Amino acid sequence: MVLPAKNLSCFTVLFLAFTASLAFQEDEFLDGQLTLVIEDALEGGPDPIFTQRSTIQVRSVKSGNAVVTHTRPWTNDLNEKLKKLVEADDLYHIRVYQKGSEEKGYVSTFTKACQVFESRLSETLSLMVDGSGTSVVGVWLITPVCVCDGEENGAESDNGGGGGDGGGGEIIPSSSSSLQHNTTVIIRSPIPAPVPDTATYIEKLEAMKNEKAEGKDNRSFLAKYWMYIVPLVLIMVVFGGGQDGGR
Amino acid sequence: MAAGLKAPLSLLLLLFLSHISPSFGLYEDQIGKFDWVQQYVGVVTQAVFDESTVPRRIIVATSDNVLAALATKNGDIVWRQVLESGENGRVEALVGEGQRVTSVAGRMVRTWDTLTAALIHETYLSHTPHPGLLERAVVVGESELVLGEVVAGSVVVTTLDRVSGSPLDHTNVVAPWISTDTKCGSAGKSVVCVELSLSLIFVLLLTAPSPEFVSQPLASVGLEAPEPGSQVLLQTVPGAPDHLIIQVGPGRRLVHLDGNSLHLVRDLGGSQSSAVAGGVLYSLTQVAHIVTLGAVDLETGSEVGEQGLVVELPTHTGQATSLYVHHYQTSDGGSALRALLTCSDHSLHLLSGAGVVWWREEAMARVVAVEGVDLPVDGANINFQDPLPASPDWVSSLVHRVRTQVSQVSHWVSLVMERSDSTFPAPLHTLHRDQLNLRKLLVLATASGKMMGVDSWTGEVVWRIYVSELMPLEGDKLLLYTQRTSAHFPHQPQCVVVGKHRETGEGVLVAFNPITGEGVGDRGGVMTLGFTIIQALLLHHPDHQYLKPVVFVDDTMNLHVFPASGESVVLQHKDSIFVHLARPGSTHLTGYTLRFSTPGNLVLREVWRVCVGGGGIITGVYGKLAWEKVHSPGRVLADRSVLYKYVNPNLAVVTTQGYDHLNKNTLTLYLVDTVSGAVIESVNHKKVSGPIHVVHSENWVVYTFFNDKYRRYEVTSLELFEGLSQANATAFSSLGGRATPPIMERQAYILPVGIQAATHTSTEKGITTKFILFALQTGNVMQMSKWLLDPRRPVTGGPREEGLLPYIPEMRLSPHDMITYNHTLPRVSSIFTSPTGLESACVVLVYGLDLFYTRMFPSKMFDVLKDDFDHYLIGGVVLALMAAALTTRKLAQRKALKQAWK
Repeated sequence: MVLPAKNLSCFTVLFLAFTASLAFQEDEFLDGQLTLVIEDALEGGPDPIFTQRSTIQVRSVKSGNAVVTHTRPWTNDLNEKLKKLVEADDLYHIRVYQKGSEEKGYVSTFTKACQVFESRLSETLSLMVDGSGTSVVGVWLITPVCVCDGEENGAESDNGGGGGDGGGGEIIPSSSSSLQHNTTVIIRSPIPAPVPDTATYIEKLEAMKNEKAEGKDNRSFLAKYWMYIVPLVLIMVVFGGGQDGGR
Repeated sequence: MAAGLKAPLSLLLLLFLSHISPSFGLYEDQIGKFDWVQQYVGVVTQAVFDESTVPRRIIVATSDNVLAALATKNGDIVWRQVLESGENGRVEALVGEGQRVTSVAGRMVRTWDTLTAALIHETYLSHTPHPGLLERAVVVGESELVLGEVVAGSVVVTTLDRVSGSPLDHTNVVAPWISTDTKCGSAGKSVVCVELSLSLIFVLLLTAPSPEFVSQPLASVGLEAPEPGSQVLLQTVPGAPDHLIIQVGPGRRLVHLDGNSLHLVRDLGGSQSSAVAGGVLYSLTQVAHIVTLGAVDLETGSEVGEQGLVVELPTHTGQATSLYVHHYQTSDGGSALRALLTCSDHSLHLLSGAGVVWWREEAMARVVAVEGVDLPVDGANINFQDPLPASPDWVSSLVHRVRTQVSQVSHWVSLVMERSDSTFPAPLHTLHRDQLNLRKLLVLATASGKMMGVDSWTGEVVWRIYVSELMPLEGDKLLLYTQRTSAHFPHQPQCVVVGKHRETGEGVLVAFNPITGEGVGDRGGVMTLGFTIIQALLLHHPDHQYLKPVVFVDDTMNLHVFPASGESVVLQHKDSIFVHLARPGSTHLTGYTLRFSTPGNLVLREVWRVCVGGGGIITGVYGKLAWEKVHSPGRVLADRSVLYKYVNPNLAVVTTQGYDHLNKNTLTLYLVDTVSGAVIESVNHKKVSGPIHVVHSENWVVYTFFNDKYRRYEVTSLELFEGLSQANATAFSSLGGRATPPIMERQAYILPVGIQAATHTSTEKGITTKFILFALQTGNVMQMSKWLLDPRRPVTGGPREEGLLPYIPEMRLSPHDMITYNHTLPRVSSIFTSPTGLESACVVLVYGLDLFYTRMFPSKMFDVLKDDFDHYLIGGVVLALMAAALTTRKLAQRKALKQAWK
């Protein structure tokens, strides 16, 4: 997964096919293309300073096809800044705006800096795009580490997988300078609302009616009640025969 | 054969289940036992004394678009007609004509029978109101109706036929001096306008063949050189249509209209409102609660002292706003006076020489916020409880507990001794908690600025507080918070009501004890905050006196805490307090943290932002109840695996409505985490319009709207699940979790009728099945089990989950499910539910124009023994069994002994 000495190192493409969005509908959903810029703040405090981090090229909102390019290499300097944030138990802010339409404003979210640190910069960005596929509504940042345990086994670890690092040993970089954001992007859009399913229900009722009609017994009287008639006849034959014999 | 049977069987099962599903079902003799209803009419704007019928009545039209007849004797509503809501139903003219009364409201002219309330005649006026209408004058004639519509720059005079409603004549009177600042009013057959910048009064006689404005200086009626910017008020005089009161600043004059000219009749300086009856002018002056009606003969101008009144109004009554006087002959030949008085607290009083004959608390017609407060346990009992030391270790708390319990036992013993001594029953009027905490004190905050405490058992008002300067915030909201419940004896419970100042618009806070209705602090608990509130929230963390602080955000984004000592609590929890703000009509929802606050300087810092696009604006943000408990974390599926609920306490539903040229009206719901700003899910509706009612609880959202395409009301149900495993079973964190969004189940149903309000039932532990209460437009309140709205109801066959019925697109309304049984509640604005001490029970207050209170048992009374439960039989059987067991044991032992000797 680690690409050798390159500015744009890791990109993850994720195809998310929501069954609902594939469902038939008279949708005029624009299969829009968006270019999004991600900024983060490694200098926390009350007024965080944002710097550009990555760009996301959304090729298709509908299929959720997006490519992440990290425009900023992760350096020791940045690592130190993140560590400082962790020490202050501060927040890691990110914000996303759309390239070309900055006037629309940005959407932002945050997580705890220690979660980013302990997750070794890997994260999932879930972006909600509005119904027309032209702007971003909200961003959701999820890190694999949910609860910080306070141990410094995060982005700092430079001794390739030693010392009881749990899970994912192969991703651990040999030094912090080769560490890079590992971002998975999920593009989502509003689900078309459910509508009262009258058609299926009527079909079901029709089917029930048909079944009832089919179930109606059209067989002859004999075919229906042979099981009663046969023993009756047999009894009559047996007893009747006895009398005859006796005569 | 079996397959053929399955379908009818399931249908049969469905029918069966729909009948046994917990329906309210009330026996006739139970009516009114556990519920009460109170009917109101609203603030009276017009009144006509009706002498034609016996008993005598007063026909009133109110600001809530209600026409009603009140019995003169006791103030009861004889009949009530609820007209259209909004401008279309506002009664502009009310004319009594013998046994009939004619009302003009919007485009409807209706004639009613005063005795039976029957609608005798109705005319639809074929006349569209002008856009930008400033004032409308209505003259009801014998056969025609004249409308004078004042718009900027002109007055449009239209004459219509009263019977057919067709226009007869149409004139446009140009008046270039009319602007939005011009004050106009109607008096009799004229429109009178006062333009301060010109110091002129303009009079337009509407019934003239060619109407024309005639001006005369303000000084001609004794209102000289008014200060610019002073307030102008034009008041009609009930009982004298050709008179008008013109008030400019402090100067108040009664003028008489004679055709196009007016002349001064009297200086009314100092009086608050006036009315005329039998040629006598009655002017009202009020000092505190003493109302004085001075009588002056209009023709001679001399005072008629003996006809005046001096009456003391009940306490907690505001200033008189309008007066209607009626003069009548008593049976012994004398004359007497009745005066109907409306006050600024929306109360309605009927005065006579003997004092207040009756009064109605019409503030109840505009309840804005409700809170249910637990009553304190028996006062004498808790006197023995000392407050727990601030930081108890286990030894001291044990000692404390033992001591308290001993004192309680001794108190109980002494109580039993006393009871045997004295035969006097305990006073009944005192408010004490009943055993199951079913009795509550309902705190109602009304739009008039009046707060009331209502005993939920009887519906009686226990206390009142009237704060004249308090008015609802934007969106007709008052915030009512319980800062301290009654569980912290000896600390008294405390509630706060937050609104804005009637004049300055700044925040006003009223702190009071909800049990006694006494204000807490100076000035009766009323505090002017000195800033405009844009957001307020009650913290969940109490301070050392068990008081939960309220945090306010003002319009400059500064924070304020009430009480000020609550700042330490805020600072203690600053990392976990998040505030979100959305301005009305904006597209942004912004979240803030308080973590950078320092003592003495609480600050908000933006941490997240959600921007709804697509041309929509935010129309509502619906969170969950803070104290809500979710009993079961998951649902058992047909294959016995568990589907875990996505229970996020920070989740809010954000509704956005917009207009799209292709899809017409659109509605998008976003489920937003209010801590992290993450948009968890969103649902997009096309061609739907409001009103939208959202019910958000546990892991589900139920909302109703109108479908423009199919022209029907629909209800959509969304339910969120984490999946077959939980990310963190012990605690939920908004900042951690799965990378995949929760699973959303969704389904839609058709509702046969529209909805006025919706809410869900709430019980103490959340074990009882949730029911959704819908106030229908037909005036009933319907309960509907959440199971019926479950999005997992199977459309097609397959293994069925427990309790789930097959999907049927249309909801059925069963008369059994109407908790209001035969009551019709017009204009329901909201429903309040509150848990009780009994898990199966929930109290419900439906408010709007009327108040309706009842208690509900959503899952029937599963935790209560039946009334006919035979304690003696069960006890006897148990004792007999025990005795039998003992004797047989003895016998068995003896037998064993005998056998051993053999």
